[in-house]
Amino acid sequence: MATSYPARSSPSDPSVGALPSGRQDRVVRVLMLEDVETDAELEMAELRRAGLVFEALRVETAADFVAALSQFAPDIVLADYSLPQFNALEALAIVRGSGSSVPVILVTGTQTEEIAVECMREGADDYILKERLTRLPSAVLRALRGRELEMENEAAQAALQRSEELYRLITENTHDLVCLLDLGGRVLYVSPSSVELLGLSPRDLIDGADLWRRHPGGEETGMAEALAAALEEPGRPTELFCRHQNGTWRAFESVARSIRDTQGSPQSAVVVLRDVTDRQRAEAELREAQLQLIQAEKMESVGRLAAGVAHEVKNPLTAIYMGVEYLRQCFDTKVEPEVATLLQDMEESARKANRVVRGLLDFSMPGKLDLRAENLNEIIKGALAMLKHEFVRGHIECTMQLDPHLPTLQLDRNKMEQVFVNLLLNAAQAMPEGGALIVRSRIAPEDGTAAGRRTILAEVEDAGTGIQPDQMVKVFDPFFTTKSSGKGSGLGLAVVRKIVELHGGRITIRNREDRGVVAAVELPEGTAE
Amino acid sequence: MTKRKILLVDDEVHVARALKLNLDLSGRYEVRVEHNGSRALETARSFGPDLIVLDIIMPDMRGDEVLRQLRQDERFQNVPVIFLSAAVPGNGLLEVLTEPWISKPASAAEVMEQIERSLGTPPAAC
Repeated sequence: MATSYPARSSPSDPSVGALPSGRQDRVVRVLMLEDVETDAELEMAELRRAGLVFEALRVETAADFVAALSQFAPDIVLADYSLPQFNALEALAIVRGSGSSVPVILVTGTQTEEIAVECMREGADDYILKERLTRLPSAVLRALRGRELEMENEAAQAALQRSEELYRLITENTHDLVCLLDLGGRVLYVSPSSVELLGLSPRDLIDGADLWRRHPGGEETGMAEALAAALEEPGRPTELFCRHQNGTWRAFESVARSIRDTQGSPQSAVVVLRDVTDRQRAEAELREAQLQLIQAEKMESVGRLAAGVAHEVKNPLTAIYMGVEYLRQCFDTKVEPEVATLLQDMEESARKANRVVRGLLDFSMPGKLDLRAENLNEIIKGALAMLKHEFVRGHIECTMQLDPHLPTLQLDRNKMEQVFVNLLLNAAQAMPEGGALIVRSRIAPEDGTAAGRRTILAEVEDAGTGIQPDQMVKVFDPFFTTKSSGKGSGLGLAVVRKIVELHGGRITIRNREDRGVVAAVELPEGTAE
Repeated sequence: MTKRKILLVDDEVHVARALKLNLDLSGRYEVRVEHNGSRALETARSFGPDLIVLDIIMPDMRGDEVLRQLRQDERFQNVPVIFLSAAVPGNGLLEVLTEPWISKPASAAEVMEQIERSLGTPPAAC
C-alpha cells in the first residue's frame, strides 16, 4: 500500500533557513519507506518547516518500493531501518542494484553505530535518528546537492567522452598523419594512417627512435626540424621526407603547431603530415610535359628557320666554290704559294660552312628513313671503325660490350651510324686527356608495357667530367655546345635525337653517379614509322 | 673542234658568273647566261643550245616549269637539261625530276662532268 502526499507550499520558517526562498526551482520527489504513518508525517513536517517544496510517496513493502522507484522516480529516498517484512539494507540493495544513483537517507528509531556504518558502506548517503529529525532537512538538501553535482559531473564526463570520441574519429579517419610530439621530438601519439602512409603501426612509431630519416641526396629533414619550425613559425608548411617500410620515399608537407600550458610555454606540438608524393609526381609530370611541348615547338621553329637559312647559304657557297676553282687555274701557284694557301683556306672554310648547313638540314628535314633489317651491333662497329684514328690520337680506350643475341631491327643504316658517330665523338671529346669509353648493347628488361615488343638499348659511356645540371636540359638544343669554336656546331645531339625519334626510339643523357655521362639509345623491336 | 652551246639559267648572278668563267676557261663551250625563266625561254629559241643548266627555285618561273615549256617546242624535245639547285632531297622538289640534278654547293668540275655525260661525249674526246 502506498500513500501519496501531493506537494503543497508551506509557510516557511525563516529561522530554519536551510533553503533560502527562490533557491528551489522544482518540486522534490520524496519516496518514504516507512510503516509508521505518524513518523512519516513528522519527517514531512520537518521538511516543510525547512521550506522544501516536495511531493511524497510512502510505501511499506518491497513490491511497492520497487514499483515506486520506477514509477514515482524519486529524487530522494528516506528509508526506515526496520520494517516488518523489509529493511533498509534490502532497500539499498534494490536501489543500487537498479543502477539508480538516487540518494538514500536512513531514518531510524534506535540505531547502533555498527548498523549505521554498515548502511553507509552499502551506499546510504546519510542516516538520521528519529529523535533528531531536525537534522533531516539539511541532510536531504546535502544529499540532493551531492546528487546534482554528481549528475553534472556525469554529464561533463559524457560530454568529454563524446568530444574525445569525435576527435578520435577525425584523427583516425583522416588520410593525413596526425602526430603529437613532445619537445624532444618523441612521438606521443600518431594516427592510424601511419599504417598506410609509412607501413608502420602507431605502436611502432610511438617513442620510435628510427622514424624520421634522411632523404637521399637531400639535406636532413626530420621531425626535429619540423618541430623547431613549428615553434618558430607556427603553421608554416615545411617539406619532409619519410621512408615507407616498403622502401619507397614519401614526400610530406607538414604543418605543426605548438601546444602551450597555461603559462604560455610550449609543452608539445601537433604535427600534421600530408602525403604529397602523388601530387609532386603529377606536378613533375606536368612540368615535364610542358617542357617537352616547349621543346617540340622550339624544334619546329628552329627547323623551319634552318631550312630557310640553309637554302640561302647554299647559293653563296656555290659561288665561292666555283670562284676558288677558277682562281686556282688562273694563278701559277708554284710561283705564288700564298695564293695557293689562301685558296685552300677559302675552300676549307666554305666546306666547313657547308657542313653546318648540312647538319641544320639533317635536323630540320622530316627526312625519310631508308629502313632495312639491320644488326645494331654492326652499325655500332661501323661507327667505331670510322673513328678509329680519332680515338688512337685522343688516347681513347674503347670497350665494346655488345650482346650477340640482339634481334635485327628496322634501321636506316647511314642515319643510325651518324647517331653513334656523334655519340662516340661527344664521349671522346668529353675526355680531352684520353680515357675509357664503353659501348654497350643489350635487350632491355621487359617492363610489360608493350606486349611482345622488346626494347633494344645501346649505351655510350664516358669517364669525363659530366654535364652541369643546369646545362642538362639544353643538351638537345640545336646550337647548344660547350665545345670551343670549331670543335662542334652544336647540332650533333639535336640531329641524333631527331634520327632516334624517327626510328620510334628515345635517347636519354644522364650523368653517372661517380663521373662521366651515359647516353642511352632505346629502339623498339619491330618496324619504325 | 666546235664549241658546244650551253645555256646557263640561274637567278643567282654570282653563281652564274662563276660557273660561266669556269666553263669559258675550259675552252670547250660557248656559254650564254640568263637569270630568269622567261628570258631563258627566249634565249633558248634564239641561241639554240646543245644543253641547258637550269636552276630550280627562281622568282618568276621555276626551272621545272621552264623545262616543261621547252619540251613543248619540238626543237627542244631532246636537248639535255641538268638541274643545279639548292633544293635538297626530302621536300619533294627533286624527287619528281626526270632529268639529272646536282645539289648546290657543287664545284664547276662536277657540273662539267655531268655536262659531258649528258652530251654523250666519248671520254676520249674530253
